Amino acid sequence: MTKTAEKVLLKGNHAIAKAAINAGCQCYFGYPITPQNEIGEYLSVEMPNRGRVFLQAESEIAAINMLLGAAATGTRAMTSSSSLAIALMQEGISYIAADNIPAVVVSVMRAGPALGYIFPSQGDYFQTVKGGGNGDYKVLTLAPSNVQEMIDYTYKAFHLAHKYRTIVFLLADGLLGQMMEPAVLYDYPYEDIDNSSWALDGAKDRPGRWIGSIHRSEEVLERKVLELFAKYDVIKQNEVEYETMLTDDAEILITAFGSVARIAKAAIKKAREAGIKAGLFRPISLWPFPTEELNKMARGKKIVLDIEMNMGQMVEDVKIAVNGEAKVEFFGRPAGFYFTPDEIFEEIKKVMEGLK
Amino acid sequence: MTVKEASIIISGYGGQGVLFIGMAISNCAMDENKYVTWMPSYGAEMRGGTANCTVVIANDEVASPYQTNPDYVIALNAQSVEKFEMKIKSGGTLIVNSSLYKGHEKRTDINYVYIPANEIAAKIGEIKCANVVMLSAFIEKTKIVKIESLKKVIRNVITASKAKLLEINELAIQKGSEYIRLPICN
Amino acid sequence: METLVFQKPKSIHKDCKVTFCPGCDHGVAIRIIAEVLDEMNIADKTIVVSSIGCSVFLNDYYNLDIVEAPHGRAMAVATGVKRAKPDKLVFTYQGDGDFASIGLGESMHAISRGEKVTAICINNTNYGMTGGQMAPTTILGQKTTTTVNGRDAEVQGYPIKICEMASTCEGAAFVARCSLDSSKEIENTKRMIRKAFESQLAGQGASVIEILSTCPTNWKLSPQESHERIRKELYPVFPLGIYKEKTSKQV
Repeated sequence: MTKTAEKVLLKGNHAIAKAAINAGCQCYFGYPITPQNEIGEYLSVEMPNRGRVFLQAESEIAAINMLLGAAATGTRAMTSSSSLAIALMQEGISYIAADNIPAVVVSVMRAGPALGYIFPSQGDYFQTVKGGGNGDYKVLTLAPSNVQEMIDYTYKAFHLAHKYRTIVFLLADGLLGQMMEPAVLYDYPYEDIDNSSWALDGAKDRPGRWIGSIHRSEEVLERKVLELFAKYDVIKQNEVEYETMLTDDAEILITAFGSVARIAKAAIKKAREAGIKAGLFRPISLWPFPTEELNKMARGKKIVLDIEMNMGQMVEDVKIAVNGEAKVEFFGRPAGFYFTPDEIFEEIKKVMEGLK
Repeated sequence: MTVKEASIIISGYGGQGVLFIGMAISNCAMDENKYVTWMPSYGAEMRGGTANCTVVIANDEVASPYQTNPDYVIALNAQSVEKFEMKIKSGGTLIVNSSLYKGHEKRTDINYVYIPANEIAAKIGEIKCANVVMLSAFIEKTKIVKIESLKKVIRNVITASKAKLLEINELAIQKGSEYIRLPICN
Repeated sequence: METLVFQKPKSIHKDCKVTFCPGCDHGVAIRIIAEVLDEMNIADKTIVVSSIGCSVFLNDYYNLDIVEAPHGRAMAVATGVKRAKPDKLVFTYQGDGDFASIGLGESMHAISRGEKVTAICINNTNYGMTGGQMAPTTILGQKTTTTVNGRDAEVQGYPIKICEMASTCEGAAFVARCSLDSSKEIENTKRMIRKAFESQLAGQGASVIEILSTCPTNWKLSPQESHERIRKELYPVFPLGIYKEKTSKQV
């Protein structure tokens, strides 16, 4: 139960797979797609070694529904995939959300639209946070920015999924999935959560249980959705997570998530050396988005510069959060190219020049 | 704190073990409590027969594991020289496996180091060790990590059951670093 | 003298009211499955996967653990349930559209993997719930709301034959087609369901029970005429019988 375990050089995708095993994940279902194949490959060996389930599904559509079935029995289960294949899962995601089923989905973003290519990308912020499935539901989304956090937030994803009986996404990208970095694989730090009050395991000495989303009465359907959103309110109160760096005296506040945030940190250090008071606000929970926290942080800042590896997605939530407290600008480029710290530093300089 | 960062691209044919030596130097850096990232090229390049990885070693969290303009390139074959020679940062260094590259130097603002790694490895009796010869020469030249760390990492990676392989790799480390210390390289 | 009372099976909610159209065979199928579960005394270790179509309302009837699958995905959901809980009896209850049209991929793959689950597929040769459109099993010449002149092989192709197809899968352990058009066939269907469940519990592989069923509302026939149609028009296209039966030796 300690972090004193030794540091090891770990690939991001392997870190997720190892953390899933430590978190007690009993079933993994998935279909191959780059850049996340190492997760399935690793688990195909290590899950059966532990008497657990690894099953290569015939499609991502099958995989998400196998996950639905396994997780409906209260079993800790997950799938992993990427972008266009996460798109295929959206119907199942909506069902899992509506059904209050605890499930973990790892999304290692690649470049789109459509087939695009396997380069890292942040083009699926909307897909994850705004949902591609039908109806009113939310996806609790955690965005790590280094290999250590792939472990931390895989653990947290399993914990939150079961704590709230909800679907949780770990949203990474090809850079984080493919890179190696020293990290500590400590034990799963959360308590087991009792699911005996709802899980399907055969109606023995109790009435049958039904996990489903069809409600033929307007009143019942409305009540179910309101209950879902009451749960989301609790999640919003408890689970907002973000990181800040050098924000106290900052004149320019950079907002960025995931792998871009780590690059932005280096750019901010450069800016500080050049006498520009720059700071970072990094949402870690993309939903629930740290709206109030960012609003407070933006007060008194000259400008908020949102940086993403896409054409502008999170910036919409940033603008809602900032809500006029400061001007919001966006700097992004579509997937396939990585920002360099210099490139972001130059943009910071340009934006600050523009304020004069 | 001023961020000091060294970026290294290691490139060669698939099968020359470029990813392996990338991981080896990353482990060295980790053992020396430095920040380090290792990033492979993946996808089309992988399928095209060449492979490369980028290693960044720093005294603070590495910003970007991917670098378009590295400080150092370790090129194990001719294609790798052609691909990366023009991308090296001014003042940077290109370490060339001269057994497989006989071209002319295209730049005057970077340093060139030539290691006949295949010949050295062949003399040891294991051509596959050319990668370790190259890495050892690189470490000896740049001192980014310690040669002792490399020896330790190699000992950890190669299990006791493969004593002969370990011996050969240790010899490769020795010969690579010795070659750098020869007068022609300085 | 003992008084025999016609009772609901224990696996059926005491207060349930059947909401299917008059003459629809769904109610019969649902009841005999419950009877089999009671007779085998396995209701408390059963997890049911419901599907989309008229079959979606299973939870109104069964006092059992049920999970609803998205349209066509019942066999994938059943795979997840069974892999997570290998000691449970897991069966899907699907229509022919769910099983053999939108869900054909999931169905055939689960059967090919030899998932130890049972698919119970109600084949009424049309999409009942949405108003009687063409189904994968609509027979040539059959009029539906999307084949108003009758299904034409040149235009809509041929009906899919579930049992014939499923029985080609090596993972299939027990595959049978049956009907509910007479008390004799109802009894036989019950026997087939029981065989399928026994095969599953014996770990032999996947089992499929296709049940030819009526849809009087959309067929625009009376209940009696509907059963007559099954015998006259469907039997020749979809012959009843056991299509595959692995003996324990073959396992």
